Amino acid sequence: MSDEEKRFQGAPVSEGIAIGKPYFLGTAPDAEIPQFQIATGKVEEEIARYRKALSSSREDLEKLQADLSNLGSLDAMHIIGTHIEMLEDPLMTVDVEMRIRDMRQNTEMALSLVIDEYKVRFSKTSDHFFQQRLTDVLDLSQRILGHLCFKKRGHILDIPPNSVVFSQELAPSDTAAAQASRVSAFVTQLSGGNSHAALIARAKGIPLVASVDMQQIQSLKGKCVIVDGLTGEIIVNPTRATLRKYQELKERLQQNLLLFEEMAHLSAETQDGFDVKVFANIGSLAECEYLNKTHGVGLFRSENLFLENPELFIDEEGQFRIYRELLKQSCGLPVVVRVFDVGGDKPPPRIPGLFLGGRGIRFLLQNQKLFKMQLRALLRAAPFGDLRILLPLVCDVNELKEVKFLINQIKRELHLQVNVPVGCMIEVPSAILIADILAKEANFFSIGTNDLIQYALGVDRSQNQDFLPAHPSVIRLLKMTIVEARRHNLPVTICGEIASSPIFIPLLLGLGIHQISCSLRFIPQVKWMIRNCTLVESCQIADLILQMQSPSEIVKLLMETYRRVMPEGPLFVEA
Amino acid sequence: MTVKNPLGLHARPATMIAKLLQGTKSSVCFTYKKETINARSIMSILVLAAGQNAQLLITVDGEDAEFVLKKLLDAFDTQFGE
Repeated sequence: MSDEEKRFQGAPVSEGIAIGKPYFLGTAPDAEIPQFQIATGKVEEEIARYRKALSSSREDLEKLQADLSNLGSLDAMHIIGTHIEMLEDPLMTVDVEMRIRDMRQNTEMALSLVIDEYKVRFSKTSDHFFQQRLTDVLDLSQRILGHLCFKKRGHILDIPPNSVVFSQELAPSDTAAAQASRVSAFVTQLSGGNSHAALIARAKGIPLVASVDMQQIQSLKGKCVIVDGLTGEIIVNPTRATLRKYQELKERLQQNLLLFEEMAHLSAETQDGFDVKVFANIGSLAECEYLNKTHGVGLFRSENLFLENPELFIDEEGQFRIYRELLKQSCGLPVVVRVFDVGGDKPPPRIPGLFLGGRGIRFLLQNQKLFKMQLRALLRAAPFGDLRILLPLVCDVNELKEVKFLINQIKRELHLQVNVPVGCMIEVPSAILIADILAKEANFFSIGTNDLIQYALGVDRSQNQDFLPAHPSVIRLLKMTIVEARRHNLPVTICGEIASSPIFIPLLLGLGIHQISCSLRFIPQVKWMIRNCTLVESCQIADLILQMQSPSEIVKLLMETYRRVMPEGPLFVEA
Repeated sequence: MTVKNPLGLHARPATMIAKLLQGTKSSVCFTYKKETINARSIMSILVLAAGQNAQLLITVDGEDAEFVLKKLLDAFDTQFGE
């Protein structure tokens, strides 16, 4: 045994940082399964006992499914739904009962033997993807055995609070039943990013790192372990310095959340009384929980519906349910859904017959079957809230016209009277050069600075972009867009990373941005900065910056302003 | 019959097939790579590990055979709604 700090690299599966006591979830040895012969007269009694275990298992699973439904995790619900259906599988019912009836085997033994036979059949499969599905069957049989009166292993609900759970493999139902208060993270040897357990961990916001050698870690008998779900690093017996670093990191994440909760109900008004609308960028229904009825959604990245889980493609009905839920949870506040933005670095859904090559709106117009399915789902959901549709990577007014034509066509088909504003992302310089033309057809603009910077300056996405938004050309492009939008009375939202950085806030306000959309976790700092600015001073700063010639000059002025507003230093700006 | 959806007969299509067969009377078997299984069993379908483009033989026998077969073929054709 040693107290030395040891680091292990695993595969990051679900984000977040956890610090806790290691807990090793073992599996029970087979010897524990009782084996005896049933007396002839007791057969029906034994079968009744088995059926009761099946119905108790069904009750558990239905409860789990209801919990997952509250989390809005459709994928996780499907997985548990399969478990419920498997309870009626002939192998689980007829085969087991036949063994009890004909061979007078006791229930536990009968079930174990059926499962063992099944395992043998399954082992012939070499396909890794299907191999992972065996986990679901074993998970289910463990659950039924658990109801047949003997304890099979440490149960996920019995583990002490604040545990980092280490397990060879993670059962989907264990992940689904885990409470964030007890399980701070999962570390597994097997469950990969594609496993059902992984999907559920992500939905529940529990960090998960996979592909870690269990035995090596168990032999260390560590008292404390840090799990970094972002990098996949596991640190056993951290030194004080390491512990402090991670505690700070974790605290900072929590503080941001806390601050957000505290101030969520307050509007973002400048010192001189100008109200700035702050919206959230979100990628999943699960995040809606944090909207607190006060934030609309400035950008819903709909492509996340399949980027996060390429295994399942959600059909029109499934999408409709998601969009409807999104609108309901937003309590009548605006919800901007960006239609599937794929191509480039984002892979399209794994469905056959897609025409690849185009990006953004061009991809969708080339794949109208997919696009119409999404538009139908969106339009059907529209009556449930304030929906707006945003088109990615527009650079030709005909693209906008074509989409509006499709929308009208679908509205006629569905006999719908809803009015859904259609806007375009402004994220390529060409769109800005024709902003006056686009403005005549669009109902709103949304500036995506990340792509805009990339295409305006010819830089890579992987390159450090911290101060690139301070390039005079980028600022002029923003200004041009805002001027055109104003002339045509169009609302403009800014939704790139620039909008989540406090130091750029005065510049954005001064340029005439009145709507900002950023990730939920940045909302507190953005709102805080807005509340400490005045519109008058912001306009002066913007005017000065528009005269400047180099990025460094601009950054200097922005930093000075930021420090003046927040004298205690760069609290939120990462070094 | 050819499996068209990219991920093959994984948990969700298997569940869909089992559900679709509930309430029908015919016996339904899938044969793939010389292995024949009861199509009402999700677990057995998974054992087939039938991926995209796998060629399955479907055998339906019983009074509602025609109706059942049509439902199954539709499900395969529409790639189980995926």
